[in-house]
Amino acid sequence: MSWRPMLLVWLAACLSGCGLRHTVDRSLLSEIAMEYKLTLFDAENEVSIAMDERDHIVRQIQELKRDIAEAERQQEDASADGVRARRNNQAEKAALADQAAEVFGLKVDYLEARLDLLRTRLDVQSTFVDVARAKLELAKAQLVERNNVRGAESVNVAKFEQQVEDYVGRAKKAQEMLNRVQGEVDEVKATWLAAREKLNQASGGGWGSPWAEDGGVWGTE
Amino acid sequence: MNRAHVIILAAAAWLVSAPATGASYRKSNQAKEREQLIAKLSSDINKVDHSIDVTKDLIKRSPDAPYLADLVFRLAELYVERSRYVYARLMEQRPEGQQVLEGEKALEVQISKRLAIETYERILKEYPEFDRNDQVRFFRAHEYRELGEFEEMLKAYQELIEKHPRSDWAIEARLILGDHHFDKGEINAAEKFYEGVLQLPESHLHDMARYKLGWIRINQEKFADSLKLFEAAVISERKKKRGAIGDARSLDVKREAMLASVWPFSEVKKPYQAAGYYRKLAESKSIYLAALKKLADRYFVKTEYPSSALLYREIVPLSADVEENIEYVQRIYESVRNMSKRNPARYANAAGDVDAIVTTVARFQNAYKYSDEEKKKLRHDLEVRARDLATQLHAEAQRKKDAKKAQVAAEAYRQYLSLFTDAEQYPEIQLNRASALNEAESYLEAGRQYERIALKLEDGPKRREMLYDAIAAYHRSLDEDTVYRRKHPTKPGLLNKLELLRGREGLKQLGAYYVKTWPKDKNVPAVKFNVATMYYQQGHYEKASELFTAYVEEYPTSKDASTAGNLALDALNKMDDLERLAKQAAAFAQNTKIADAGFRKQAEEIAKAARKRNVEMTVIDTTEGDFSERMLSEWEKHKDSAEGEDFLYTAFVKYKNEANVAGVYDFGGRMIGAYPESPRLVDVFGTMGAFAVRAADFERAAFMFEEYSRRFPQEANANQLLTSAGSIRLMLGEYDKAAEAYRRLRKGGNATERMTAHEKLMEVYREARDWEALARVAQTALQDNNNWLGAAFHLGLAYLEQGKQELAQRELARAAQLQARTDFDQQASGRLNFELGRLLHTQYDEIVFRDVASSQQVLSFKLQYLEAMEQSYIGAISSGDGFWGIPALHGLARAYQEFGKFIAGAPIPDGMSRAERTQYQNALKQEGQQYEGKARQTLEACQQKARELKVFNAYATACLAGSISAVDAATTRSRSRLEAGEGYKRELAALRDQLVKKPEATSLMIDIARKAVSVGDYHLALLTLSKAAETDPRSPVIQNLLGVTHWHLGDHQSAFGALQKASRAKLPEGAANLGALYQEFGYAEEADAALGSVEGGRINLSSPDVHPRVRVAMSERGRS
Repeated sequence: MSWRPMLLVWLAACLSGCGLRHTVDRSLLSEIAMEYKLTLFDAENEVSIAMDERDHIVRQIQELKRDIAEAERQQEDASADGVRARRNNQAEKAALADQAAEVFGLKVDYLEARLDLLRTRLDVQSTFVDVARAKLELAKAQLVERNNVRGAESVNVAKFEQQVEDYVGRAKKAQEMLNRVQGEVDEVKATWLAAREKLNQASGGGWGSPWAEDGGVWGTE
Repeated sequence: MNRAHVIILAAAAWLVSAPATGASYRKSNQAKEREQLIAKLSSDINKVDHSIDVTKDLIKRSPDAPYLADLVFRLAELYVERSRYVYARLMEQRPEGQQVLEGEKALEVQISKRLAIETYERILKEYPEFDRNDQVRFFRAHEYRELGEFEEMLKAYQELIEKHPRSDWAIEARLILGDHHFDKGEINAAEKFYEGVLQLPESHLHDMARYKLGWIRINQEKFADSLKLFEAAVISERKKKRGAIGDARSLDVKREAMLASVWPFSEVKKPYQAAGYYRKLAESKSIYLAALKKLADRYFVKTEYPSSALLYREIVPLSADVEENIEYVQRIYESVRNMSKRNPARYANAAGDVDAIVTTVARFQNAYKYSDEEKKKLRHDLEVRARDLATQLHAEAQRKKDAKKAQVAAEAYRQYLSLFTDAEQYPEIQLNRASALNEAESYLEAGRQYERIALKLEDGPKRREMLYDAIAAYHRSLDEDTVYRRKHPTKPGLLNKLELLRGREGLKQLGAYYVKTWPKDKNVPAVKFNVATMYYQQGHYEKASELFTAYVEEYPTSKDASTAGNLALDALNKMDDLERLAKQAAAFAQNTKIADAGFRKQAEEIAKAARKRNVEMTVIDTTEGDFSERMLSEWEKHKDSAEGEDFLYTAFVKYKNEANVAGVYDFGGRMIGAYPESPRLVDVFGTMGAFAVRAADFERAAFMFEEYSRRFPQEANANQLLTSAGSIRLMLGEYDKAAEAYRRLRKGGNATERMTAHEKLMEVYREARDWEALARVAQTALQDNNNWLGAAFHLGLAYLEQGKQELAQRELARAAQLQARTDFDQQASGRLNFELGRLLHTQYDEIVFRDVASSQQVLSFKLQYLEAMEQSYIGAISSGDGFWGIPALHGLARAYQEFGKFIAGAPIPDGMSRAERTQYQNALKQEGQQYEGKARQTLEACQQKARELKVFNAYATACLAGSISAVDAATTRSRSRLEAGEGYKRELAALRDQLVKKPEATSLMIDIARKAVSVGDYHLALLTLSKAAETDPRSPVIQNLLGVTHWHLGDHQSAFGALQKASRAKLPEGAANLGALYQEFGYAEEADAALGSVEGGRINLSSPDVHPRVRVAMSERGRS
């Protein structure tokens, strides 16, 4: 798809120089009592949540890859059914099997589009992780300033605030782009489902039926 | 010596038992070996002879040696040894086939033995104290035994027992004697000797004694004792002393005792105890098996089939002997078949029995020593038996509906199927197994069995049937597990994880195949439902939702449609996909094809709840800063659906709870614009109105309340809010809008509300001096209640102001006859008499003298009016309402004054003399002066009463000024239309925002009021201050501002009341304002006092807290 490279280029451009520009050295926090540091926990928690979400997307990608392999196998099975049917002079059955193979092909297309989308979502999620990290640094900076510990004069909270704003802006843009491309994936899905429904009609509720979708390989081995 | 003897015997035994078959090589080899053996025995005899010679020589040469007895004993042993070698050599040398020695040959052996006996007797005679005499006696007896001289033997053993009763040799002697009698059948004699052994300390011969005694007990039919003796022989510790002489030495007593115990065991114990009993006793598996085999055989012979079967079942798995096992499994089968048909446990062991058969057959198949023909025959025979056992049990289970037996039968079938794969009945047995599993309620296994059958079939009715049975079995298995888990949530389910996976995946795969292959089959709906359920149970909610939704669409009238629908929705709920949940639920609710109306109703509720929750979750997920933007964006997305309204409303509620005025107005306004029919506008309008009141934004509040009542007239508080709207409008001086509100209230309200509406409308038009409208309203009110004093008065007033004097008089007079029932009536009645007096006063003023002729009549007429008028004015004065009492006094004074002048100016009748004329004129003047005097008195009373009551109107001022002229007291109250700048509006908005958050903050209200007064927005100030005074009625600042505001609006009496409170609280501004008010209305002394208490520098004359008249009053005071 055309949009993913665009997004990647954009993200790459935005993130050039990688890592946060402004960070607070942990040593500055060492003199601050624990009860004052409680405010950091929420921010740290946000970072963990964002990273968990990123991991979740990774798992989804792995699952989707398995689904693609399964769909490809179904496509092959359907093709083989077609060949067998032709050999047995069952023209109608052969045509149905060919149609089924096409439908599974479209399913593969859809799943691959989703895979692409998920990969992009992973990239976007990374920007959310950056936002969470930037907020954590800001929380640290505010804490240091509030407690006026040694070295606090080197911390300029405004810069940290600006940093958060920059990352938030970036994440918002990435999210917007992602929302747009979600529509494209939906279109591919709609094409597949329409073809599947046609097959369902042609087979009288057999091939193409959602019930036969994920388990139609019984007895083939 | 002993060892050699054993070897020889063993060798001899081997030679005897060696098979005849075996080739000539072995035969010649044997002959050679025999020659070698004979040569060796000859050599041994020579050696022994030499030893005898040496020993004899030694005896001769040692006559006094202390070991002489030992040497003689040694000599005797050598004779014995020689006799044995000779015997052995003779046995080897005998011809083939000869079993015993005869004649001379036997004699050579006997000579040696005799020599030995003589030597033993020599020892006993010559060395009676030799410590080994017990042994000597034993050997001597033994030699007698060897020679067959049993009488001598018995004597010798008996002598040994008597002379050495506790010697080991005496124990053995007892045993030998016991055996001797036992062999002869002399049981009692034998018993005595064996028991004698057992009475002595434990020895290596005790087990043998027990063993023998055990048999004696069997003969005596004392089985329990016998079993104890055998058991004791088995379990006693093994003695490592030398073995006994003779047969006892080659016998494994413990093994024999174990085997012998089988007999008494079968008489004393139960068969089922056998395995445990012998397992405990046996030292090895082989002994254990030997005992069981013997016992099983015994039971079988005794036709105790259940017992024999029981033991054969124990034996077969342990036995490695294939041939024996074949026999045993057949015996098991025969035992089972021969068991009583009434025996409930007849086929109970079918699974184990078939397993035994299968295992045995399998091992037999691999045994090299059997021909294929034998194997085939045996396989066939045992297949029939295995099948018979399994099917018999299955049939019994079916007859008795016994699930446990069915389970065993299924297991028997499984065993059968594991081996007899080529059997003709194999498919039938497969089906039987599936059926048995089903009957045993092992549904998962049943499903797998059906599936295995189906796999081997081609697509067709049979395969379809098998697949459906498999699906049904899987479903049932999973269903039972689900029910169990629901009932016992803390326990593991009936199925483990692997079984669950097998069941679910099996059902899914088979279901998919079924639907794909036979889409029109009658069972397809059930299959589809089950497949969808599997996805649901496995947590694949996306797919489950898709399938259940498709199910509902395909079978909307099915009995499962509502369940499917609920599960479809629940799957979406579990995915937290609230948006789709709401949409799908709404789709179900609108699907008229769905037969279950209850479900559709439920779906509608779910849709609502999901929408609500979706919105709530969106709210939770949205950061504070993005909230408004996000809500609007979600609204844009769902504008045309109920969800869009939910987003707006949720945002509205959030802002309402946060008292965010801008948010409430923004989202409330959008709600009103986008969803004008929404029932939530009840809350929106109500809230916005309440917020407006709290923010002192009264015009907006009135609008909201009016809209509320217009849109939701059925709401309980609709008319109450409409009344509030009217009141606000009235206080704002917006009489038209106030009138409109009250007219609506009059139209839609109940009797009380209609009356309130009438009152308020009359008040509105009276204040607006719209007499025509007032007349109409009053007439309408009178139509409702003709005896309503207030209405009649206002109609009269309207007529009066319109110049319709007759009508006015009629209505006012009628009103004066009516009873005051409400505060409104009470207020009216005070003014009523004044107005009536005023009306009469107008008419009175019009009565003038025309000519002399009518002068008396005119005078009388005017006097009547005066009296009537006087009566009305007095009525007003005595009503207690000072505000109208003072004008009445003033009017009365004026009337008297005028009447005095009227009389004084009366025409003089014609024909009077000058003197008479003068006298007449003086009389008139005097009469007139009386009235004028009365007028002055009344005016003084007016002044006094005004001061007393502090009445602030033009009449009071006139009285105070001593003026008796007519007063124009007409005032119109209306809201001044100010043009405030943007700055004022902004400041006002900011203050209102704060006020909503702190509705009790009077300081904010005061600020608003001051700003309003500053720009001339007195009505706003008045409303705001009224609200502030409700919160803090004792605040002098608020009272002062209230006074100032009332003054600005022309309500001087109210202004006085408020300013007086402020002044009493020593507020300088209050005193100044009060002083100025006094001064304006002619209360000079009070003004001096009030203004005098204020130092000029202490108040800011430009402040909105100070009325502009103060500056004037101060400057006038300064000038004076």
